[in-house]
Amino acid sequence: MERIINSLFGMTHWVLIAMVVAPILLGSLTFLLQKKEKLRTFLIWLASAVVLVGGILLVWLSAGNEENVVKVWQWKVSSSFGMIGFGLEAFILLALLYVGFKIENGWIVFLGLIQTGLAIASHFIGTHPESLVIFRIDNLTRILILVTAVVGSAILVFSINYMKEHEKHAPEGAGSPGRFYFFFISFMGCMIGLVASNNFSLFSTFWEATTLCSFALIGQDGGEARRVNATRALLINSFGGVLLLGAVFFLKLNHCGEDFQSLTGSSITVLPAMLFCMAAFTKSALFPFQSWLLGAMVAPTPVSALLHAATMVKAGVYLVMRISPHYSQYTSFMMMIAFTGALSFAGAAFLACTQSNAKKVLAYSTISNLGLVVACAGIESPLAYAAGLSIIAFHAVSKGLLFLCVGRIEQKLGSRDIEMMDGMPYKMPFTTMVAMVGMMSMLLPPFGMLLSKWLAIEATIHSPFLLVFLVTGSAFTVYFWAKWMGHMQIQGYHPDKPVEQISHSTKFSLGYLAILVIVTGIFTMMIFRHVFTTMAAETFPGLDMVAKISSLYREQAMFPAYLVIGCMAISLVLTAIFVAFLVRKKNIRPPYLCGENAITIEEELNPEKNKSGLRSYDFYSVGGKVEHAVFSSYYFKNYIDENRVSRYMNWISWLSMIVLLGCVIASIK
Amino acid sequence: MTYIDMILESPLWRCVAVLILAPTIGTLLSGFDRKFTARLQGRVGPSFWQPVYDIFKLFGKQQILVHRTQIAYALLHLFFLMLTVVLLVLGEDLLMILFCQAFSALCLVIASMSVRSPYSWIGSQRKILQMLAYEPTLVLLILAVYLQNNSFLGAKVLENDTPLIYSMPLMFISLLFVIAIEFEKSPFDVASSHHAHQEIVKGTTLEFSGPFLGLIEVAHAYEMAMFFGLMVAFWHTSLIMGIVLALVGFILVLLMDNICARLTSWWMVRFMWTIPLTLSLANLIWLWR
Repeated sequence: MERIINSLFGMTHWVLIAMVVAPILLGSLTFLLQKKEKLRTFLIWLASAVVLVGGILLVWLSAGNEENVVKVWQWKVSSSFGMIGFGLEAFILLALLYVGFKIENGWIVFLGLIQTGLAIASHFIGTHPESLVIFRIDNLTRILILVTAVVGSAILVFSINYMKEHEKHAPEGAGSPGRFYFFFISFMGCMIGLVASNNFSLFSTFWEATTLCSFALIGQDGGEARRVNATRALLINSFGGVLLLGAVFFLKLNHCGEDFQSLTGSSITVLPAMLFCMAAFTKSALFPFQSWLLGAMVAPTPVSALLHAATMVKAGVYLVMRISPHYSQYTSFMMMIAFTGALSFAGAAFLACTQSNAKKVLAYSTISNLGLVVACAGIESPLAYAAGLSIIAFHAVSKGLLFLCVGRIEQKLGSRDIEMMDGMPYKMPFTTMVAMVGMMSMLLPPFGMLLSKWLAIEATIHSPFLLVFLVTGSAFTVYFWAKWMGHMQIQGYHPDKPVEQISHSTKFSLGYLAILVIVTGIFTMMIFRHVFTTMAAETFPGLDMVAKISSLYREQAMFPAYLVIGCMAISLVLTAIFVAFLVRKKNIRPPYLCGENAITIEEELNPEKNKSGLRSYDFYSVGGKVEHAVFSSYYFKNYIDENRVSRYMNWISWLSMIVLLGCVIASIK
Repeated sequence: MTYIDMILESPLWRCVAVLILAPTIGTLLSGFDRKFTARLQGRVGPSFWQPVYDIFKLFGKQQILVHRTQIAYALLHLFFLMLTVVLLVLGEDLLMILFCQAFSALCLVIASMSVRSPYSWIGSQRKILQMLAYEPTLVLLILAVYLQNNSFLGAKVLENDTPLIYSMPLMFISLLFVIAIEFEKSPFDVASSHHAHQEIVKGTTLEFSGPFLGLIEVAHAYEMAMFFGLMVAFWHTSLIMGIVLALVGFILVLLMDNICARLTSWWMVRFMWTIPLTLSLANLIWLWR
């Protein structure tokens, strides 16, 4: 047994290759066998299992066995293998060019040509080192792999039933489900490749591959709106690709090397680091590049879930987190990175308050949280870095869950408008409960998101400028979630517990993510202390603030978290007992309205007598006329115009980009 | 005397004591409020103990409710306020305390949004706006405490030699506005008010009656005691001075209540994000080191 395990550790690189290639193969297989529905479903389950098990296995194996704990796992090859990376890169860039020609978009072709030129130039200039580290797995990578594997597999399982339903009402000209699954499953493989690759040509290969996958998936359903939004996503991300390859070219030009180890923090590498960060902003859809992620919601909901939670946007923040620790001595550079992030955090949260479209609220909330991660990366403190890491992880699970819930609600109600989500506990009790868990985990104690925000605020205490953004941003966050949570709870009295019609795969994926949210919520403090804090301390070895982290996590700081969890549990139990013993059916009354309620108490107590499901707000007005009360949440449509605010925000963000460039130029001198 | 020492030293007894004392102080404060307001308006006013009688009377009434969820969230509202008070007395992390308080406020919002009553609905929409209005100011207050004491722990405040009011007078002023919102005082009493003849009747608490309204009243008493305690903490070196300061603050809020009419919720947000927030920021910059 021991021998088998030990030999497994030697096979880590094979597992890694399998993790990248197997999803692509399984995706192709699903594409070829899409007509056979049973087999297709089986293949999807298989792919999901492969991604989950493979991801966990990869993390476990790369960490080494007990005698030999490996902090960083590397795969070194001789430099002739560099040609393979270059070949892959050339292949993917040709694919990009082909897409650009096919959709007849000059800008994409133009950006594609620049990228190709930069790729070729950086391959042929400079010296090639003796050996290359093509893949490198450290703790940051492990977190991203886990996120992709755990959340991605759940989204994949959810998509089985969703796509079956979706096919029935798919618009004219929509792509086949096989096409969908090919890109969907490959996407996860590419993402794992992206976070594990160390060599720049491999990294940019996977970077472009995720861009192309997202382009294909956004345009899945055909039609003008999808075409426009898919093209916009491709365009903005190609611009990001140009920045990325420009950085690589610059590094090669100055003989700095061609992998992430070349970003050492020396002054010559500041400009490439900035270009990398800007590329990351395009991928993570921070202001001013947010429009592609907002447009991406035209895709089927599993795609949005995948883009927001498990892959794509996480690649951007991963890049920032990878680079930022080495550049903490460039104060103004880091400050501008943090400022851009904080601006997105507050701005997106503000715009989320004005939206009633559930998917758009989620999209703005994603942008806002990614902004917070970037802000955390920019604040040069291990505490903030740990907060950023934990936001990446906790946000993925919660946001994945919420998107799946919205997808399900949208399919059942036929609307994604929050104002339409009345009587949800009666119509869809399971989904509502799960969605409430997801929403609460975004902003309430004891869940990880709140903890991270708490630490981010504590870490920004020494930069007042950012503090204002963080504080106002968190207030907006509470505002838009509270509105939505309240709306989800509108209901009448139900004598019996309604049962929701839900397929096994959907219930499994939602339940799995919800349990994950709750369990990580209970153990937040422990996870934070043993995983994220340790990682941050390793990332910033020289700073004396490491001592401060450990002082923050004394037993006392652990204590309130457990006190909160304990009291929450006790109060939930007490609440259940009180409600079970105190509430009597004979005491139920319909709500008070402006006149006599048009609903009789019999109707209130027997939902089947009432056709509309949720009982209305009808009341007898003057002269016995029945009036219908209508109300909605505040969205400030009259005060705040989304487009105008976005324009201002974009302008400020572009200015901050220019200042970022200025800071870098100043630091070179 | 030995008993008092024992209670002060053991955290458990401190929690028990505060859980009993806080609602008592809160109801007495509302009694004072009613008497004071009546005298300002040239009335005799009810007895000082009237709020206590009211709460006991509410618990003796028949239960009337709309559905179970409403009651569940109302209970959570109370429990989390109790937790907030306990955490405060234990001297825990102030930001965490603030988040617990926000959770409890959110539970009340959800409870009153769930009942399908337009009045309750509008009230809770305004309640969320109130949270939006005062939350940043409270966070800045806590950050100022951090700058003063170099720790987020509430217990560390007591170790300081000089009263906080010397270094944070502007914070105290903005805290008064926050308290006016929390106590539902004019001009900020947009979500719910003490008088059920407003345009949204009773707002957030409209669909609660009998013992369930009693629960919310108890929770409100906890909240009042907690914010009164915060004001006292501004002069922590001397208990008497602290109470005097808090009473002065409370009377100022009551005066404002009596001379102002209620204004719109949108005005409230604008006001809170301009004057108290900037006052707090100015104070924060003053404390910068």
